[in-house]
This record gives sequence, structure tokens and C-alpha cells, in this order.
Amino acid sequence: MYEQPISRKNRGCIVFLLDRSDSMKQKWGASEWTLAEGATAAVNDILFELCLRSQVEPGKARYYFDIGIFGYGIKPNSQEEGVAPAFDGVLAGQTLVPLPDLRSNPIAFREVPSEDRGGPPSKLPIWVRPLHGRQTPMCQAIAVAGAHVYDWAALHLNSFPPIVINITDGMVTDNPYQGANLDQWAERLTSIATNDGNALLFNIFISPATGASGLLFPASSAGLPYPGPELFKISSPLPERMVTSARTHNVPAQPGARGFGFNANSQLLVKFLEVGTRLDLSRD
Amino acid sequence: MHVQMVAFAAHKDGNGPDEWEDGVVTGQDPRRARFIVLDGATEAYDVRRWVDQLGGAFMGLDSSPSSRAPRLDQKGMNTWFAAMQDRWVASAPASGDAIEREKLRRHGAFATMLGCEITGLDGPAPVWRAVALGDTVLFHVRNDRLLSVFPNLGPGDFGSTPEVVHTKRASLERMSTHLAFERGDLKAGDLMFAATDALAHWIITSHANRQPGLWRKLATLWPAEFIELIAAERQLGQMVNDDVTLLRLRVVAQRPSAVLICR
Repeated sequence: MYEQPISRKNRGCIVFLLDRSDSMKQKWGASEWTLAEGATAAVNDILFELCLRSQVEPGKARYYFDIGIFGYGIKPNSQEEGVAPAFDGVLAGQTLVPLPDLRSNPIAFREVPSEDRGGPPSKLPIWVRPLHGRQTPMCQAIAVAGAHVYDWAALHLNSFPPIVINITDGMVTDNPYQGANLDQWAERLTSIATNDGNALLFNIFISPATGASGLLFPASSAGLPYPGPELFKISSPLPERMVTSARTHNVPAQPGARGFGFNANSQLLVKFLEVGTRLDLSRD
Repeated sequence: MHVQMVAFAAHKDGNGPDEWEDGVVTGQDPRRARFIVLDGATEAYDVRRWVDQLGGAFMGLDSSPSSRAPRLDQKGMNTWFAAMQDRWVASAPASGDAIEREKLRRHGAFATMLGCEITGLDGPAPVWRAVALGDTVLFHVRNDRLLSVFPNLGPGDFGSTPEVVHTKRASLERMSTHLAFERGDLKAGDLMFAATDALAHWIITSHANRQPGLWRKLATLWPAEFIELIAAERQLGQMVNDDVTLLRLRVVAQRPSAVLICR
């Protein structure tokens, strides 16, 4: 279980659920960013990392992943509340995008200072813009992700199972949705399987609270305030390889660790995403 | 004496032949022979360009004014490694792509290497000197007996992080520290085999298990048989699915007067 390396023959699937509710406009701790800006930047950074991992030789990226990003809260085109693909530009409206297409179609570039003294800044691609508005239809987001992941898994039975990563500042407002509550939607999603295991649902709660102590990959939700226990409950256990990866990122993941983070600041969110997407590439 | 050198290669199952990331270069004149076998690392970036650069430079084939084949001693190799890293940076293809530039900056390229020079072919007692970084292995066989394994690796020594020749300057000291040297004498009839890690591991394990006729089998392989051997051992789970390269050397008393090529 959870042993299959990623290859062109058995590619992987990673879906991000990005909270775009109105509360994401709050400042993120002591940073200059809002929660929406910080979360979007972290997602763009991890997409860049996935492009780097797939760049094996010059001139092309290998098709190792299908990538989806769904925003939930305000929908960018209609301004109504709901769930919509968050890609923009050429990829606008697309649900699961082959990584080579992602690599070829950023919507803009952001400047990052050079690490070399006096060197010119780097221009790194971005694919998603921050947005906030309306409430938090998280159940619907998990339902939408589940539908796409279900179809994907049926076509990729020998692949590592899909990973769905939910980034939220908290309180779900559409519970229940179409007769099922949050737990049930999460269970439906994680019942989708390939031959290598069940789909993984990871959740990370980001908080505007300055100085709030964050934690990653706990084995228990004891002592956590709302919505910690609720999100912990629907988070999948971390596969062993990701537990090892967490430890190499200096995160002491214990046996029973879940793919869950609470009160994460921007650094913890980045670590969470790096661990949650660190899959073995076979370079096939 | 003369050294007959034949190279065999099989790309990783599932990859295309143009994705083979090993390298082998050989050369010979009446007095000496030289060869290098390289294994481009799976995690490296633009590794074939690095393998090509190292292979050509080791043999003194490229056109750079400073490109003399390195002396196979510590100082000679240290100087050569630094020159290779400089040349890698100077010859990097111009690219406006942020992802490729970042990949190059962060990861670089790296490969294991086994280089060897045979001198004294015009005399009665030729010798070989070899230098190695990583798990590409040289086997010296005489009268069906294994004389030496260089580097001296056992069946349990093949991991996922061998020492490598790296493009990054920060790796120079480590490369120098882990560089290994060996030498030996040669006689007519001797065989040498240089193999990249998947095959080297298989050879070492087979030898440890006293597989009968191992050296004779390797000594008499034709290309089609090589491919069949690799496929069969992969199928049995006895050989890791990876690019495979074998360079076979046979020391003969004199250069043959005719060469028959079959297709």
C-alpha cells in the first residue's frame, strides 16, 4: 500500500482545495499577506516544485502528474458562492490538468530576489490568484473533488492513489450538503481507491491569530479547539514514506500521524505541502 | 599486446533508447589504452550533457584548449574535476525558462565514473591504473578467476546514494575525499569488465553465489545475448530495472590482422 512510485506509465494525481471564503481576507499572523495571498503563494510554490521534479531533461517536463485546484467560496466569474476550478488564463475552467500543460501555461510571473549577492531577481511562474468572498462550502468542495478523483482513479488503477489537500481557515458552512455531512463526504472521497491504496485527504487549518502555535501531522487532536478535531477526524493517516519525509523536514511525525495541520503559519503550510506531495519518482 | 574492447548497453525497461543515461568511451594506440564508463544519476538534471562532457574530456577528445586527458592521480583528478565544473557552467545552454534555470541551479548533474588507463602495451608487462567514484565497477579476471574488484563492493553495498562526480562546486572536496585508485598488471588472455551498478551488483552477487561459468558467459556474450540476459534477470527480479552498460576488455598477445564484423 502506498508503495507505487510515480512514473509516466503510472502517473499521480494531486488536487488542492483552496478556501476562498470572505474570512480569507484577514491578515495572516504577523506577515504582510492575507490568508488568501499566503495560501495562494504556497500553492503556486508547490506547483513550481512539482514542475521542477518533472523536469528531467531540458526542453520538456515529463507527464508525471495530473493537477487540480478547486477554489471554494466565491466563484471568480459569477461572484456567486460555490466551487470552481481555480486555474486562470489558458487553463481557465480546466479541472485536472496534465503537468506539462500546467508548466507551459502560467498566468503570470512574480519576482523573487536572487540568492546570489547582486544577482538579478528570478521570475517564477504562478498559476493561481488569491480571491476571497462568500462563505465556506467545504462539503461541496470535497464532493466536487471526489467526483473528479473517482473518474481519475478508474483510469489509473495501478497508480499511487490520488491526494487531495484542503487548505482552509476553518468553519464549514454547508454542513450537511445534499444530505451528507462533512464526515460522510470525506469518507466517500477516501473510499475511492487504486490498487495501491485509498485516496488520501489532507487538511490544513491556517489561522490569522498572531503567535498561535502551529502543529503538523499530529497523531491525536486532543486539546485542539474547533475546528481542529473535526478536520483531524477527516484527515487520512500519513503513509509511511510521508512520515519519513516529514522527519527529514524536521517535523517529528509519530506513528499514527495524520495528514493534518493546525494553526499553520506560512512556513508550516509550505512544509505541509512539501511533505504531502513528496512522492517517489521512478524517472520512467 | 592489444586490448579488444566491446561495449554493450541496455536502456531501462519502460524508457526509450534515447533516454539511456550511461556513457562509455574507449580509445587505444599501440602503447596505451584508455576508457571511461559513466552512470548518469536518476535524480540529476541534464545528465546526458554531463556524461558526454566527462566522457569526451577524460579521453582528451574535446576541442577545448585546456582539455588534456587527466592524470590518474589525486592532484590530476582534482584539477580535472574543477575544470569540468567550470566548463559545465560555461557551456550551459541559454534558456529563458525559469523552471529550467532553477532546476539547473538547484540540482545540477551528477554521475558515477570508472576511468582506466592501460600502459605498456608495447612491452611485455602492461599495467592498468583506474580511478573510481561511486558504484560503477571494474572486474579483472585471469584464467577464469576473479583477481580484483574495484571499487571493492559487496552485494550489500549498492544503495541509492553512491558517491558521484557532481557539477556543483560545493561537492569538489567530497569528490576528492572519496576518489578511489587501484592498479594491477595484465597478461595476454586477461579479461576486464566494467559495469554500471545494476549489472555490477548482479555480477558481484552471482560471483558470491558461485554461479558456474559466470566469467565465461560474460566473455562470450554477443549483443543479442546480452539483451536477453538483462531482460531475463530483470524478469526474475535478480537485476534492478535501470540502464545497464558493460564494457568488456580482452588482452590479446597481438593485434588481430583482420576484423570480421557481423550484422
